[in-house]
Amino acid sequence: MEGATSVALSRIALDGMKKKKRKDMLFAYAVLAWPVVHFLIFWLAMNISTVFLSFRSGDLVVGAWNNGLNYIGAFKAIFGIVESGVMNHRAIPNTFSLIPLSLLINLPITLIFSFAIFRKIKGYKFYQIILFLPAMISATVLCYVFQMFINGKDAVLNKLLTSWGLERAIPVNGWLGDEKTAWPAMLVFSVWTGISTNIIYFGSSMARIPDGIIESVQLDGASEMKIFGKIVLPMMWPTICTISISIVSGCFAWYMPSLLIDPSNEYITSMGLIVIQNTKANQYGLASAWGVIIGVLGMIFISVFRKITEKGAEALEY
Amino acid sequence: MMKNVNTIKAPSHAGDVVYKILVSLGIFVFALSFVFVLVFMVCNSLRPQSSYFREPYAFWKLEGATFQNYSEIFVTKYGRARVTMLGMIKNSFILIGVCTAVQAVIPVITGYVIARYKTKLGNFAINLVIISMIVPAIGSTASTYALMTAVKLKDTWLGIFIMNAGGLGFGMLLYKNYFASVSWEYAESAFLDGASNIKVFFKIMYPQAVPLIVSMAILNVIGLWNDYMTPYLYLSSKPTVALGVYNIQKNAESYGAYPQAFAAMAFMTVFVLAIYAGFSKTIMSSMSVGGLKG
Repeated sequence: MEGATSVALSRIALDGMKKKKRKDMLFAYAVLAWPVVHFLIFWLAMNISTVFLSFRSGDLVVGAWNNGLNYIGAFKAIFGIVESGVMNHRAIPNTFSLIPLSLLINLPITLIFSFAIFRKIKGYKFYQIILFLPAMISATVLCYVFQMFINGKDAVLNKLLTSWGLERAIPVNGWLGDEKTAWPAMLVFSVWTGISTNIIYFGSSMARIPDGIIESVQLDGASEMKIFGKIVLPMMWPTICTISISIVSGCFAWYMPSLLIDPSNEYITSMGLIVIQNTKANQYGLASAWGVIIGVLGMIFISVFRKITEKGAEALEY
Repeated sequence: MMKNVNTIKAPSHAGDVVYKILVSLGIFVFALSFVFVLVFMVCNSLRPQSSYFREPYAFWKLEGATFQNYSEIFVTKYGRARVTMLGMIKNSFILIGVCTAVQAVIPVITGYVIARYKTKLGNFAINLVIISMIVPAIGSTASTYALMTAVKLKDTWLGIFIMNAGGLGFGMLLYKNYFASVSWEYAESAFLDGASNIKVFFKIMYPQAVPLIVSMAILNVIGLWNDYMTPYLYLSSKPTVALGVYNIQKNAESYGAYPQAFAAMAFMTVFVLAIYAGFSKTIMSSMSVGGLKG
């Protein structure tokens, strides 16, 4: 008798669990439906239609296949055969030059600054706020002020150089009007504004390192550089890898400073700028062909980069 | 009392002294350059146009300083849409209000479900996000623009809200990590008391994530306030402050009203600085709770 009751009870419990499981699944699928559909439309379908548009003239509704003319145009510009405004041979080298700059200059500077704040360097509270300024001040403002500093006869930099008797160093067409100095000037801008939100992510990652570990090496007499190199860097390597991938991905999408400073300046072009300029001019086919080129190059480069960083990363649980 | 490890005095090393001097100097110079931008901008925004034209670079010459430039930007209509600064602020607030509210719910609940309910769709969503990180998003700008134009959602609030209502992105990953790490005990007792899934989320789990949600919302507000590109492509007849300030700059280049452009830029920056000053502690502390791991 007792056995039968317990079997009945366990059956009721099992039914209850099954019912709960069904309800859970219903809830989960109902919640996930919108984000997944949104993503499929705005990411997957858009990437597929980019490939579709890249072989056509016109837009999504009206248009015709154009025998790869968009790609022919893009590759002619890439190899400097037929160039037109910002669509020229500098687009790819300019875009790729941002990667070593971001990884070898911006990233280490951000890490060192984050570590200094983490280790409560004198004035760290002030720096914590100030170093976030590039992320807070709009790119519109930063680009405009930067332009005022370096471009034109009244530019602050030119006034300074003139007052020091170095006016011969100023290019005749201005820093942004000279092929030799225009892109390096943009790289300086990138370094200057490149330290921003990442300082928060690095700071938060450093804050998660257990106090005991740093305390013990500190008592063993380790220097700050040793703490940074032997403890902090290896422990936050997964974070560094994640941020690095987003940095590299960001380089392929770089266009904003060029667009805001001088959108028609052929020397400061980038692949992203070409996509935006052609999109705004309703040249969807050409913009999409450049979009596919960015996508393919980006995918290859980011995947290889990811493999390399993952190899060096042995995730430490702490 | 426990002493913070970062305040414990370590034996001094010669290298440490050099390191500290170099890093302090580096941070100081870097910080100074941005403080200088702010000073340059604010000073020029207060200068009368005549003084600016005489010596454009002499930002420190504040004879006859005036707030006239600020009042001008609130009455002058700029750009093709003929909108004053007040109109741009209104547009920015609509954009920020709706998008921030949407982003404070959809990615949060998506992250929660992916962390706590093991489903095939959840795994599929995570794989989608990981794959999407490899492909630079800018490539599909043209087709997104063409789609929005084709379905007549370009230049409409509805269009921009739909575009911003995604749940699978960086924010979702932060929320997923967060919900995977918080205790499940309260939720379990609530389930035993008969609470529904939605009730458990909104009454028990969501409140725990509020500090992280607030931080993300603040970063979102700053991002949307400063976002030039989205309104440039998708809201050109309803310019927000970022797009409007660009229009004011272009106007300044044509008509020489540079101090007005500086006033607009200073206004734009002060708003963000005020928000950040008020919430910087919340952002810093909750980001360490959310955490970012590879």
